[in-house]
Amino acid sequence: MTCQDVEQLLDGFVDTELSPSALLDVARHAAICANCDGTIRELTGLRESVAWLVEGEARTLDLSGVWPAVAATIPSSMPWRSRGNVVPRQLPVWGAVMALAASVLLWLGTAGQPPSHAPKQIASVEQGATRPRAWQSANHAVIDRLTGKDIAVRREPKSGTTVIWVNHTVEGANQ
Amino acid sequence: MTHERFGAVLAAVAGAMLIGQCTAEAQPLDIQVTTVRALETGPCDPQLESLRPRLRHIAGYRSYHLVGDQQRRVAWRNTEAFDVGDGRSLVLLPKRMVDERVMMQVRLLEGRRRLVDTNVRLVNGGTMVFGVGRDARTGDGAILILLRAQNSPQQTTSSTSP
Repeated sequence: MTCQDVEQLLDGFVDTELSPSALLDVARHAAICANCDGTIRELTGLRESVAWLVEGEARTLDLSGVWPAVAATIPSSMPWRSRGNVVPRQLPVWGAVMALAASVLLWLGTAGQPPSHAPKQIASVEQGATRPRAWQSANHAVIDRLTGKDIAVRREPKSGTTVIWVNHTVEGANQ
Repeated sequence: MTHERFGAVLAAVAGAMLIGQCTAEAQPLDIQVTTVRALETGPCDPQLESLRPRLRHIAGYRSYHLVGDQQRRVAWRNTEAFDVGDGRSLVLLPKRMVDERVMMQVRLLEGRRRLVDTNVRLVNGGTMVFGVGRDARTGDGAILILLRAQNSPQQTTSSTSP
């Protein structure tokens, strides 16, 4: 392995993203090449410094005023027990049940339906499109429906970021 | 629990459901679309340097260049198109908030051709990524489109953290 090879693999080595054999190769080269060893140490030190700075800034955040500000917006003049008394005692149960049922129906009725002024579909669904399917994830995006050609869904492991990848080829291009 | 109390609780729940849905959607939606070109080799734009490790996990490329960054405050149930270059556009139709997630239809178009058409629920303030690779016109590189949506009238941040 040459210094040029190591230069190409530096980021992966510092992030320990290389394969074990590649990691070993780079480490072996660094053991006999002071120049590459120094570069690796510099890069590692730089990343540690950046991480330390970010952590330091996070530690200095003063959140002590957050809860008092929230608490100040809550009216304290009425005790909880007396607040319950403002609800009319004679409110019929069946009326409330009907209201709840209407709310649920309204809520469910609007779910999954496009609004009346939804844009006109501009193209037919391509052959090979994936079937509608719900991907459940605790991460950033839940995909309820997905169509397209040569597409794949990935999730970045650290942040859980959802990635929809199109293995795109221009029509008519020699690929 | 008396019948009156039970009725009152049910009425409160019904009201909360209606009011909650209405108020969440009364707030405008901040959309940020950032377009990044990814290449195998070469330098990385300084403003993307901090994102490079994440982008590398996402796309596997080493060099990233900022192509465009658009931020708009959009209305619910209105179609918004973002030009992402190379004749492509990202067309969004924000529908509503569901469980602190922004529910929207997202279409990635190339001219009139649909590359992706999806319905997603994105965590409020979260970012998702569309990647387009193996394009004959861009060599071995790829285009990353970072989509961020936040339903918050007070906060409009310009940072992007995929």
